[in-house]
Amino acid sequence: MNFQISLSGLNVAQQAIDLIATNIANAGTKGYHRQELNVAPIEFNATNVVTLAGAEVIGVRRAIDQMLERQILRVECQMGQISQELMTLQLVERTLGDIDSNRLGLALNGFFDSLRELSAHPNNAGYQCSVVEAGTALANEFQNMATFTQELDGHILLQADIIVQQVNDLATEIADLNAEINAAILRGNDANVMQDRRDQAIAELAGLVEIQADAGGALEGQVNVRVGGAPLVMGGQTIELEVTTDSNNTLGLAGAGSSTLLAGIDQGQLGALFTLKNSLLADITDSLDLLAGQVIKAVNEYHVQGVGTSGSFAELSGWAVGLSTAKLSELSSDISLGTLQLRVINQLTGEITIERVEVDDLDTTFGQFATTLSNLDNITAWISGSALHIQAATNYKFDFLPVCSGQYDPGTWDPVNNTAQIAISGIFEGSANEDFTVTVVGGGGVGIDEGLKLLVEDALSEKVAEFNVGLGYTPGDVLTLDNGITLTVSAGDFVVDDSFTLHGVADSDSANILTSVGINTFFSGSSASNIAICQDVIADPGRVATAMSDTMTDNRNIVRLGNIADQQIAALGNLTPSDHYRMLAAGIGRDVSVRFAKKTALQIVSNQLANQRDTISGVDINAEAAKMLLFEQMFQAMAKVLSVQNEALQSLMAIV
Amino acid sequence: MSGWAAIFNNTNFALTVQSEALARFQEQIASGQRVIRASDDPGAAHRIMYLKAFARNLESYERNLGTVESNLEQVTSCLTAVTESLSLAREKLTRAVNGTFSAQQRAGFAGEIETAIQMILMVANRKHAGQYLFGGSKISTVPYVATYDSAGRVVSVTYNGGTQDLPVPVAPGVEYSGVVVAEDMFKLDNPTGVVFLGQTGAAAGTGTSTIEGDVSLEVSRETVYGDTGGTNVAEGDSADTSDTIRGDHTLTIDTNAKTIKLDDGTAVSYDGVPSPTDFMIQNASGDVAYVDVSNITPDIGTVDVTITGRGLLSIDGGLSTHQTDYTDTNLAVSHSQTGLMLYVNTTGITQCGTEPVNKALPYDMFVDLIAIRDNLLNSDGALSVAEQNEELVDGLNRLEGLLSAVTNGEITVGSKLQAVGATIRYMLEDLSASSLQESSQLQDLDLTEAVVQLARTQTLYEMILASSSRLLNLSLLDYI
Repeated sequence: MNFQISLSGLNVAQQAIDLIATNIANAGTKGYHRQELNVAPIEFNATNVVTLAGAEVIGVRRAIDQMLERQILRVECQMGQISQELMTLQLVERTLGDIDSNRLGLALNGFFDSLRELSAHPNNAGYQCSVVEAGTALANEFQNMATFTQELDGHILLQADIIVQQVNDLATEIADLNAEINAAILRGNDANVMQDRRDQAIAELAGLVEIQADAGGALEGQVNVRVGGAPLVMGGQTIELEVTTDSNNTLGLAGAGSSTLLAGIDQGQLGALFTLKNSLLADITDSLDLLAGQVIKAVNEYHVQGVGTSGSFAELSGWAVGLSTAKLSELSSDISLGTLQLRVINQLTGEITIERVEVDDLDTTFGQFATTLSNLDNITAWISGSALHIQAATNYKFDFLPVCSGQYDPGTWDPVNNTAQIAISGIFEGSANEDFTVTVVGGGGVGIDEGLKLLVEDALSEKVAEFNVGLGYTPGDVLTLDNGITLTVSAGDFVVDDSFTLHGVADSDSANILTSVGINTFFSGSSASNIAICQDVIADPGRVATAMSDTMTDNRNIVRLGNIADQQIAALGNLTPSDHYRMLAAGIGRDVSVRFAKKTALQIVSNQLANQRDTISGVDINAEAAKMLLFEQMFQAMAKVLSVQNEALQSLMAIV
Repeated sequence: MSGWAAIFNNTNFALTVQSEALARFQEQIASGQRVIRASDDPGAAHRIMYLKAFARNLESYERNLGTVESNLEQVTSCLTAVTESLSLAREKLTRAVNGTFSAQQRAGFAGEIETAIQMILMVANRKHAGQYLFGGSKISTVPYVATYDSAGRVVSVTYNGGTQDLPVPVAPGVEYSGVVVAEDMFKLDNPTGVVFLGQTGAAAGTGTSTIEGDVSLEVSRETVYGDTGGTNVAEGDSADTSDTIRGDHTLTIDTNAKTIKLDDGTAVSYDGVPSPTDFMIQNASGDVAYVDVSNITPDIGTVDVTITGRGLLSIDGGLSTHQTDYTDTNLAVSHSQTGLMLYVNTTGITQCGTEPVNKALPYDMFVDLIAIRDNLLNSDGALSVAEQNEELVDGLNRLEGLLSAVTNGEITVGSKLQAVGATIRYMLEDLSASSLQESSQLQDLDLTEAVVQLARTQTLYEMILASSSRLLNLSLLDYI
């Protein structure tokens, strides 16, 4: 009788029951894979005759499907990414506001509405103040959004640092477990629990960053982990990672101390943070900056040319743009070749001089430009604090109204014998500055001689208009061109074939100097983070430039400022400012909606995979209870066998 | 059966999904909106934001419209007052002109004219909501400034307002001015508008005619024969009234064959015609000339004779005539006695006759009224009664022109008010209503459907709880 056989059976039953207890105890443990006993019969070889001699536990194995586990890791990674992106984008959407309370959209509309309403009350201080308030509200909303995105950028950096620290900690844990598992295997011990812990750490890591985990390597039982193709855990060794930005200011993951970013880090929470910082939020910030910049530019382009109820200026100061030695081309990319037109008004006599400053060389320095302005009569200009300052002489004022004017060159216009005076007025309705040639046809006395005419031709010598100013014309009668320019001719004489240039001014700042250096602008700044109302306008709302004609009592400038709301701006993709904002808001909404749908789909897949894993690796209480019954009976049976064997031996001993 | 853990997973997942759905329905029902934020329905959200912004824009247009409308109502009211004052002035003046009144009585009329002047001055300087209504774009400047004599009578009135009005956006792409340039209505220095009221086809030239009031333009014609080349051909008896040729034409006379043709027309025989002194020939274009062929010299070959059809215009009853070859766009026709000038476009003249022509008299509201008042006063006795009457008749004519202008102005403003108050306002309200209706359709929640969905989801939630509780409670351990 072989007591060892019974003992082996008792041993197996005992270990089985212990394993069942372990499984049931860990039924709710995250990452635990059900363990199963691997039992084999004991083979006794006596002189080449194999005899079965009981059973033994040759090992405990985990119930695990590696392929399924890898799929689950992949989904974890995607879920980490989508969840992070969704959470952040929802935050952005909430900050922008609901459809009915989108503050930036309301502020944008409110600003243009205030301009429109001022056009009906251009002299009303209340409406002027409303424009300043609406502009301030708009600037504040832009700045709020810019501050929010900047803070969000900071939070993303902080969160990325925290997550990469978690990554490093988990990598260390995995490496340590690799070493421990190897040692246990070499000692012949069971390493299932450590393997479960390692698998759990790898699953947590997958949610943080996209990884590839593969078994293999020098150490038995080890799992190596790679991130972006680069090793993170190799056996018992780890490589520390850190979040960094490269030379293009792209945020990414790199080895500690390295500036070369790892490629392909798109998934996991870290991948989501990088995508948010480098792409999604960057696009939103760029879009906001573009919108703010274009609103500033469009408003200022009209504003610099007009005057408000406060009238022309004794002095104006711009904002700090550059040193006096800086070239005009370096001050702003918007400065181009063109003309700046000033009117200088003698307050005592009412005499008006129209000066035209040509910007014909962008290498001209800022200081040289100021000197050119100073060379104009009764105007002083200088650079101080990197800003342009312009001042009129005592009893003089100046402005930049786009009034049309005549240029009488001595070579083509006899100032002595042309005694009739031509007054030029009206608002030029062309889209760009245009010069016309006015030629005297016939010659003679105004209102007296038959056939005396003024022929107006464009730059291509095409006839624009021909006016009779001889017999039949009453001196002082208004002659109107189709483009809005009006002429009146006084009594006097004209010399036949003499001509002068008529400047049709659609833009008195065609070189974009004033808008670039901040002279008579409404807004200051160039982006969402620094847009503001100019202090001069805040201090005196009468400076809101409502008028643009020489009478300074019209409302044409404020009407065209209000019409910017409906203007399709090329830089905004031929959208109006409000359309651009709506596209931005709806785009964010679409991004949120898409990610929400993706997350829901991933949750379903994740749930299904979890169910599948639990089918293979989960602890079924009922199955374990059934096995427990089986091994309990086995234990009892083996004990009975042992007892019987013992009694038999006792009986034998009694016989001897 | 997928396992005990699977039951737990499914329960957890289902409860999460349904509780999220319940929260969503609750939010929708509480707000009454299906689309609260852009992510709820990005396409609808974009459209809703556009429609609501458009409706807000329309509100700002409506406010402008209200301002313009209010101003125009005031302007209309003021013009009515001006018309009444002018009518009163005309009545007084007419009585003064037609009746026999003493100097004292005429002075009384003058006093009433002065009252009218003061009244019109006050009305013309009316300010409404901080804007002067009659000074054009110079809404902050008093339009009319008067000077007074020691007796408090207006001596002169100067216009300080603007020459342009103030167009205000009242609808997308539509602008109206709520203020007027009074000088355009109250003063006409050089009336340029000449009205041709007849059928001759004559029209106004480009020059500034100096005629005043009603003038008769006599349009006639003549045909002039150049060198006849010895043929002795002459104009026919009815050439002046019946010829239709305009400008230069050519008669080709074959004296040997005794044929004659006009320009490129068919050559016809003039030998033995019934009316040789009034023979009609026609060119290929249908132009007609009546020719006297009775004395044509025979057998001298073929001769070309140039004949010219031209018009003759006169405004002094034929004392002087002015020729035209019907290509003049600005023919100056002068009155030989007064020197007044009428500029005529002759290109459209098709027939002869008398063309009644009218040009409005110049007027200046305050200057004319002051002159009328001073004439009535005749305070220095410089004018005799006859001279006074003559001046007053002239003043009455100017007053008529003024009344007509102000009445026309009233009509213009009235029609503008009608357009603003009815047409544009209706359009804005319609646009606003349709925008809001569309956004409401896109955004508003179907409450009935939402409540049904909420109840369904709630039931589902309860069922999940109940079923999972039942399943998770079952275990073999209970039976061991």
